[in-house]
Amino acid sequence: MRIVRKEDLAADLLVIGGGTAGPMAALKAKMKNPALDVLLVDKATVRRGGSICRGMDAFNNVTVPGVATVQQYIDSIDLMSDGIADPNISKVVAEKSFAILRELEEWGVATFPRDADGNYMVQKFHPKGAFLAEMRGDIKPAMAKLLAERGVRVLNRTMATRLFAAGGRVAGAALFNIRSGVFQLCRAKAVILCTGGQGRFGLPDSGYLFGTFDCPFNAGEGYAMVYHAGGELANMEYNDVSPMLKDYEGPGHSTFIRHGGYLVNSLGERFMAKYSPEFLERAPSGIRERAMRTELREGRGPIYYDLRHLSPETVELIKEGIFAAERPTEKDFFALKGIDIGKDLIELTLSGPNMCGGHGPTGALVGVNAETRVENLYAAGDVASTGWGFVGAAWVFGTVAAEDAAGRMPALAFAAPDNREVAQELARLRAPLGREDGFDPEEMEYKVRRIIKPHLTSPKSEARLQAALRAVEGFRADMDKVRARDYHEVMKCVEVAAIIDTLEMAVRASLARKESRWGYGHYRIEHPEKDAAWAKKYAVVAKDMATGGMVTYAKPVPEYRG
Amino acid sequence: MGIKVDKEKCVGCGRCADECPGDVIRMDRRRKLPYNKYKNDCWYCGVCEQECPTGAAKMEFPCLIV
Repeated sequence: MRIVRKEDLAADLLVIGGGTAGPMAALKAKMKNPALDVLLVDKATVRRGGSICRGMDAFNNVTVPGVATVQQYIDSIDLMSDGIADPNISKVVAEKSFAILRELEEWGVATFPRDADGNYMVQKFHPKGAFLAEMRGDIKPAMAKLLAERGVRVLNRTMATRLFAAGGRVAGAALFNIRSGVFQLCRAKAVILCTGGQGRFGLPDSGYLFGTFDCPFNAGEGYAMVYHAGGELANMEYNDVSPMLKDYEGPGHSTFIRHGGYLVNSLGERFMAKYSPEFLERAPSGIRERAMRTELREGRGPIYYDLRHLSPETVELIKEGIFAAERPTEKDFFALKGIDIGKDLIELTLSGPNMCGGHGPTGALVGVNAETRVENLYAAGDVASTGWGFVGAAWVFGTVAAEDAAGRMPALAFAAPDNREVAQELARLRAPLGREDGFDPEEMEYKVRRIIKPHLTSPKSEARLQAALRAVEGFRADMDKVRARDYHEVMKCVEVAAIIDTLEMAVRASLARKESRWGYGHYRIEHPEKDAAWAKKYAVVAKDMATGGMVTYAKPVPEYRG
Repeated sequence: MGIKVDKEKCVGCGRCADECPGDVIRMDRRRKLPYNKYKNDCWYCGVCEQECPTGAAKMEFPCLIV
């Protein structure tokens, strides 16, 4: 078994990742300019790849005129991010999301249930304003069909493993087919990266490597690709931790809470009243995490969702949303455990930590057109730092990236990738297949992920972070001992390398931000208070292209331009 | 742990293997039946069940979850 390099590919626009943002980007590029040659790749399939592979029960976040305002959305994200999210980005999400809702409806991709008065059913999940519209439909196959009709080229089971840049401009990507083992260089005038966040990070309480809250097929390869290409990443120190159904990776939280569910401890107390009397269950996630961990540490666990006070109609709506629209296997799970969600308490644990631009602020630093620091390289969806934007920001930023790239395309030319870098990437992929013996990728993954929760969960200490940094060095050396038996395991080697890269980013950013912010989102024992010097500043992680080492620095969050 | 297949109902179309987002499922070409090649990579998303045209595929939870 050997990886064979085949002929180079070329496209005007290469979109990497066929989950939520990617298909929207590819479609919008074709709508703007049908003559463009658009190639969309996914390591799974465009029909079923990504975090919403089975569906999604709400369009979050959408600003429906008459229900909420653009300003409310900007204020809500500002509150959740404690000032560390670009308000100009929030404005774009708020202004453009409703038009996308209408398009999805018009195209027949999704439906949006309405109440008796004919209004969209929009619920409140954020501290301020209501931004979650009930959504139904088998979105992914419907989008895949539209892409085929519009002439977008699609390569399934094709993983991008590295981006290539030349002189600060993106030049293309290394593509690896996980089933055939074919390696190809794809040159492109512009690239939109939509690979998702880091779902395969902290080891879940169940001990099952793939039992994660966020999609485990998103293993941070996008963050690693942006980093190695010379882009900047923000908020890597932010721990994205969500309440998670015990033993089942969700969904639940946003659905239960937006319909009025409670978080309760083992004494039946609605404990969020102690930690966030104003926002209760809708408190920013780091505040909620600190509350849950405190309740558990002080012996008032387990903690639960309590939906018993909700009307039978509301419970039915929740069941319909989760069981029919988003994740039918959750129905099987509750049946297996003998839980009736309207009548029984639902035990939960805490996820992650993970990294995600949808559930948190983490990701490639982008401007209002989704542009990164690398010229002609865009990022959208969970891989981009678009501030708690969920699918709304993924669709909006997929759109703005595509429209910007398509608009600029006549003036763009191919950059020439460095042949040595392409050869190095091919050698990196071939190496684990060439080893006669060694660790399994799964063993290596466990070894790396088992240290994440103890070293990165708040409160974080300097000593633990430094120890994690030493462990990272060891992990990199150990990767030379990992053997792949087939192409699927080569994919896993690339993923484990990305997990190690993102772990280093999280640790270095955590060391850099010498203050505490976002509750347990980033709480440093040695620096337990907020520091005014870090107000409105990102901790940025980037690669020093001269030395190849990882650097961190503070960078101002852009001022609101109105 | 991936997919469980009702051999009576399965028509061997391979859609479960084509669409499994985790690349867990592959087809046994000789027997024309899907099998779990990488069972520990399953997110129990249920795409296999969803894509099966004959109702032969049933998603099975991994050992650590049940």
